[in-house]
Amino acid sequence: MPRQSAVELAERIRIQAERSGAQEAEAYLESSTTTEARLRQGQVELLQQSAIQGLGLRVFRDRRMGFLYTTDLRETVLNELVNRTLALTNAATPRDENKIAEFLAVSQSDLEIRDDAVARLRPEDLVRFARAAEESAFAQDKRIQTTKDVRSGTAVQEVYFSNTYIPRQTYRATTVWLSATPVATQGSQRREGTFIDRKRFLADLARPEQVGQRAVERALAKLGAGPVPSARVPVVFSAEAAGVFLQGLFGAFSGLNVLEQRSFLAGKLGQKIASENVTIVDDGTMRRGLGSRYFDGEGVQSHRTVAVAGGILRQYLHSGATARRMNAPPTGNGVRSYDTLPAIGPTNFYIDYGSSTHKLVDEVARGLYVTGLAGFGVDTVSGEYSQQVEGQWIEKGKLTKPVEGVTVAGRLDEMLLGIDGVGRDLDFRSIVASPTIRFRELTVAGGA
Amino acid sequence: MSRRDFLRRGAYLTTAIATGLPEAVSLLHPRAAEAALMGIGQELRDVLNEETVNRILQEALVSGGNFADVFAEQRFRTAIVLDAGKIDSVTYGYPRGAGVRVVRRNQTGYAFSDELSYSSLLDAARIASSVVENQSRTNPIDVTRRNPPPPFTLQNPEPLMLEYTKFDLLQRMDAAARSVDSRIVSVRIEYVDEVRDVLIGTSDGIYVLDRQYLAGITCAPAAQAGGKRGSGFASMGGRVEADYFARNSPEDAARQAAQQAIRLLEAGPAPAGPMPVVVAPGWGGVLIHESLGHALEGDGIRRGTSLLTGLVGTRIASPLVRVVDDGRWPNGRGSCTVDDEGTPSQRTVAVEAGVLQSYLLDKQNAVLLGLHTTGNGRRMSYRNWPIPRMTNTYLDAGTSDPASLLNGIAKGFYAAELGGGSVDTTSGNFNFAVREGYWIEGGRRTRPVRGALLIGNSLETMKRIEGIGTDLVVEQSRGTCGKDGQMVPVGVGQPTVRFSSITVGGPSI
Repeated sequence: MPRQSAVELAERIRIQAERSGAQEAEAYLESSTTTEARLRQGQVELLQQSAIQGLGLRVFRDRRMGFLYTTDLRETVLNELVNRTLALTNAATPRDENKIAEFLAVSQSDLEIRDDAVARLRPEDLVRFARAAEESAFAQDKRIQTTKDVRSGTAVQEVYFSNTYIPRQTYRATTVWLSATPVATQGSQRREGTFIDRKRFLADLARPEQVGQRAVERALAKLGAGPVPSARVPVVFSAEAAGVFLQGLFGAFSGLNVLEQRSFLAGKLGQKIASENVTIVDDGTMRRGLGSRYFDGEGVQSHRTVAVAGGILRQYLHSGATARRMNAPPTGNGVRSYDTLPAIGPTNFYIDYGSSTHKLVDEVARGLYVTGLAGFGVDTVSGEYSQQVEGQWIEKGKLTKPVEGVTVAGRLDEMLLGIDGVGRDLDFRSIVASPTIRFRELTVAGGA
Repeated sequence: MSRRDFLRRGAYLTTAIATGLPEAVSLLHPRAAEAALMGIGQELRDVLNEETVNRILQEALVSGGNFADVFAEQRFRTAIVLDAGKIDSVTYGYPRGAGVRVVRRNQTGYAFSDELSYSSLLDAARIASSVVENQSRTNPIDVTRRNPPPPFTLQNPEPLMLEYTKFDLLQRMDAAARSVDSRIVSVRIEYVDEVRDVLIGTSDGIYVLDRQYLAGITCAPAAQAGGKRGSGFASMGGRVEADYFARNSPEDAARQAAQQAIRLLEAGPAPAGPMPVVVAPGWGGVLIHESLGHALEGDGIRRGTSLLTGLVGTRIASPLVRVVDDGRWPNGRGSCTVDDEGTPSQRTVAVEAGVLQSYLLDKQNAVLLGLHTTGNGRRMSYRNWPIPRMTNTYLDAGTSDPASLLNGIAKGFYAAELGGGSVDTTSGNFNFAVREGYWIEGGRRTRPVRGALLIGNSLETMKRIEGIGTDLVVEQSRGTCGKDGQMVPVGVGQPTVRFSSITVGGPSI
C-alpha cells in the first residue's frame, strides 16, 4: 500500500470509530517487509520474502476500552468490525485510566533508526553475507565440519499512527542481522555455538568474518564441558549472559506488576535495591538503538528513564494507564505490534557500563564464569532465581575448564545487592544489554 | 455448526436480551458467526478453488522445484483480560492471508500475502520460486478435494459460546480465587479462543479444508504477606465443547491456583545438587517434550545436528519407556485433522521399550531422509513455512502404583507442578522449571519448597527412569511450544515418573 493511502486509512478508520460512538479512538497501522536468507554448507536453504500489513484499533467509550486487529483491510469488513467491537466494549469495566494519552510531542532530534542502505539490500546481498560468515566459520578450525545454519536478513518497518488528539504520526525504521551457528565435533560429542549481530545501520553490523569467528569460538569453548561440584562461589556473567539475566528481570520494573503486587520491587521506590555500582536505564531515544523510536505504541514520546541510579530504585516503567494510576511521569514503554494491546516492555534497556571488565575474572580465586543461560527459572514475583548455565571454571583468576550441566541460583534481591563488579564491555546486539557483571556469591548446583 | 443450530443460538440470544442481559455481552465474534454459518473454509474457498490453486502451484513451479504448496488461513480470535477484579480489555482479532512455498531438495522459498487474492498469491508464487535456479518444468497440476476423517468432532465448540458466558467465567474465577485467603492480593485471568480455518493445496494433488477450534483460560493469583510473595497458576480449556466448563469447575481451578500461591508464601528454598526426583503426572510431560521430543524432530535429524541422528533401532532410554506423539488425542491442544501440509494426523510411537522407533517428520525432511511424513509439518500461521513439530507428546503409562514410586527414597525431590522448559538439541542439555516442589524424606512427600530449575542431559536422563506409574494424564489446557520463532499449541503428558537422579538447581546446599 502506498504510504499516503496507509496514513489516510489509519486516520479514516479512527474517525469512523469516533462517528460510530467511540469518545476516543486510536489507529495503529503497521506495514513492514522482511527478507531472510538461510545458508547451510554453502547452499541457500531458505529464502523468505514477506510484506506484512495490519491494523490495530483501540476504542474508548465511558472509560471502557475495546480493541480489534485485522489484516483484512476491506472497507465492509472494517466497518463491521468497528461496530461490533464498540458493542463489545460495553461489557468491559469502566476504569479511570482508560483513556488516550494526549501528550505526544515528537522528539525533534534524528534518532537514526532508518538506513536506506539496509532498505536497498537484495536477497543476493544477504546470501553473500551469510556465505562469507559460514566460510569464515569453516576456516577457523578442523573440528567445525557443519553448521546448523547461517542467517542474514533485513526488516523495514513503517508505523502509521492516529488518535483523537494526535493525527497522522509516522516513522520508518530498518533492522539488519547476521547470525551463525556452527557445530563443533570432537569424538562423539557435538556442541553448537551461536553469534548474532543485529543493527539499525548496515555500516554498524559486524563483518561476516567476525560473526563466523566468534560463533566458532563459542562452539569450541563448550567441547569437553562437564559439571563441577555444588558450591557457593563468586560468579561472573559475561556481557551476553548478563543481558539475558537483565531481560528476565525486566518484569519486576513493570508499573503494572508493581501496582498488582506481582513484583519483588513493589514498594521499594527510593530504596537501595542493588549495589552502588549498578545503574539501570531504559532509553527509547538512543541514537541507532534497536529499541529506539519516536513514540511508543500509545503515541507517548520516547524517553530516557533512569530506573536504578547508583543502586537506588528511582522509577518504574510505565504504559499510559499505569503512569496515570501511579501518578507518575509517562516513560513511553507502551510496546506493541498492530495485533497486540500496548503492554509495558523495554525500549533499549541496559545496565550502564562500569570500571573494568578484565579485573572481574582476574580477581576471582575460585568461581564460575558464565557465558550462556537457559531456562524459565526467573520469578520476578517471589524473587527466586535459578537458571541452567554453561561457561568456564575460574581458578586463580584464570579460565581453566569448560562447564555445563550446572545451575546457578539465588534470590534476586540479594543478587542485585551482591553485584560487586560491573565491566565496560556494553555492546547492543539486542534491545536488552549489559556489560560483564560479577556476583559476590551464588549457589552453583552441579555434581555430587 | 449447521445453519439450524446457528439460528437456534440466535433464538437464545433473543431470550437473553428479553431477560434483561445487556445486548452487548450477547455477541459472538461477528466474523466467526458468519463463517460458522458459511461452512468450513468457505471464505477461503471463494478466493482459492481447485482451479485457482492449480494455477498458483503451476506458477510456483515454473522455474523447477520438487514440490509446492499454498496455505491460506483465517482466524477469529476473542481475548478477554480480567485484572484487579475488572474486565480490563476485550479484543477481537481477525488475521487472514496466504503463503506459497516452493521446495527443491533441501531448499525452500517462501512468500506470503496479508491480502487474500489470486493476483497477490501469483506474485507470492513468483517470489517463492526465485530460490530455485533451474530449467523450467511444466507438469500439469491437478489437486483433488480430500476429506480425511477428523480425530474427534465438536458439536458445540467452546469458542462459539456467547461472550456473556465467557465474561461470566472470568468473574467467577476471580471471585473464587479471592475468597481463598485475604493474603491473595492480585488475580489476573486471561481468556483467549479462536476459530481457525485453513485451506491447503499441494503440488502432489491434495486440496483440503479444515476448521480448528481452540479455547483456553489461565488464572494467576499472587499472594503477599510479611514481605514474602508467592504466585499460583491454573489453566483450563483445549479443543473442547461448550459444556466443558459445566463439567470442570472453573471455581475449583481458581481456588487451587490461589491455594498454591498461599503455600508458596511459606515454602522454603529448594535444594541444590543431584538427587532422586519424582515428577507429577500431566503437565510434568514438559520433561519428555524437552528432553526427547525436540531431538526427534526431522530437521535436526536431516542436518545431522540432533543427538538422535542415526539412532533408530538403538536403545536410547530405560526399557520402561514408550514415547508417543499423537495428533489425534481427543480434545488435545496439538490435535488436528490434517497437519499444515495437508497430511492426515497420526499416532506415532517414537520410542518403544526404550528403543528409538521413529522420528517426527514433515514432507521435506522425510523425503531427504528417504522416509515418509508422520503428519508433523506444522506452522504458526500463513506467515511461516512448515517445520517438523510435536503434536501431543507423552510418556506412556507404566505398571507401578504411583504412590509406591516414593518408596525407598531417603532424601529426594518431588516436582508437583512444572513451569516451562527448553533444550539444546545438539548437546541434549535441557532444563525445566518447577513451580511447586516438595522434599521427599523417608519415602514420603514432606515440606514444600519454592521454585527451582531441574536440568539434565537427554540420553543420560532417559536411562535414569526407574519407575513409571499407571496414572497417565495428557494435559490439554496449556502448552505452547516455540521453535525458530514459531509458536504452536501442543499437548504434553506423562504418568508419575521416578528418576534415579536429576540435578536440582535450588539455592540451598
